[in-house]
Amino acid sequence: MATGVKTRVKLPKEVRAGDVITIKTLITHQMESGQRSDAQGVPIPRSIIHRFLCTFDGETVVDLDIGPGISTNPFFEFQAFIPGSGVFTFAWFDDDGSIYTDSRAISVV
Amino acid sequence: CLATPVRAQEISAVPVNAKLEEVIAAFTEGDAISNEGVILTVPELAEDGYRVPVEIDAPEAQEILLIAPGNPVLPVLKARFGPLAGSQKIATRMRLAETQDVLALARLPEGSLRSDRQPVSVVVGGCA
Repeated sequence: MATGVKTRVKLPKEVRAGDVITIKTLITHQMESGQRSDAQGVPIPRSIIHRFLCTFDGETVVDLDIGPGISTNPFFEFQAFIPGSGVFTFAWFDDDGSIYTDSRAISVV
Repeated sequence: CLATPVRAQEISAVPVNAKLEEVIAAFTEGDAISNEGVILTVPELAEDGYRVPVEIDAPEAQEILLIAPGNPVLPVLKARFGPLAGSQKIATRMRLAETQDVLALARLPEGSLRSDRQPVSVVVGGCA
């Protein structure tokens, strides 16, 4: 299991119903590509975040399949439509079976 | 939302050593591709191949595929936009092993395909 994994999500402070907002997410993760070898020439097994899912009250915003070509500490920026108050859920799926999650409640003004 | 069933990972379903034609064909299913309607934004010169900023803007697209033809594993990212996507745009950071033309493909809901291709000169290759 990867250690020291932290997730970060950035959303605007004030949101109105009907807004399109920009969301930035980041997870600290080494994203070991599976293409490297250690000093003894032994291949280092792949260990990456292979999927990211953002939903709002159960409806999908974006669903990403991630390959080893995404950089260490995967960062994603995308936009969501806000129909009204609700809860964003963010989930990062690790090759080792771990699922890291975060959520943010939105109260429209 | 953790109850969401883990579906087949389509990127992982493509063999790790798949050639460019195979990666493209798996996405397009052989349909014709238009060279308009997607804007792929990458730096012309990337000094650090470990972190190359990339943005794909594909209005109306249902899903997009980002491909690095010069990397050991070609498919980099597949994005599906759900009903609450505020745009069909995504930005991230990618690894590039060497200087190459990065490729973005997009499929619209009615099935048509779009693409954009942009060259990136890589100074220090990122082990991808």
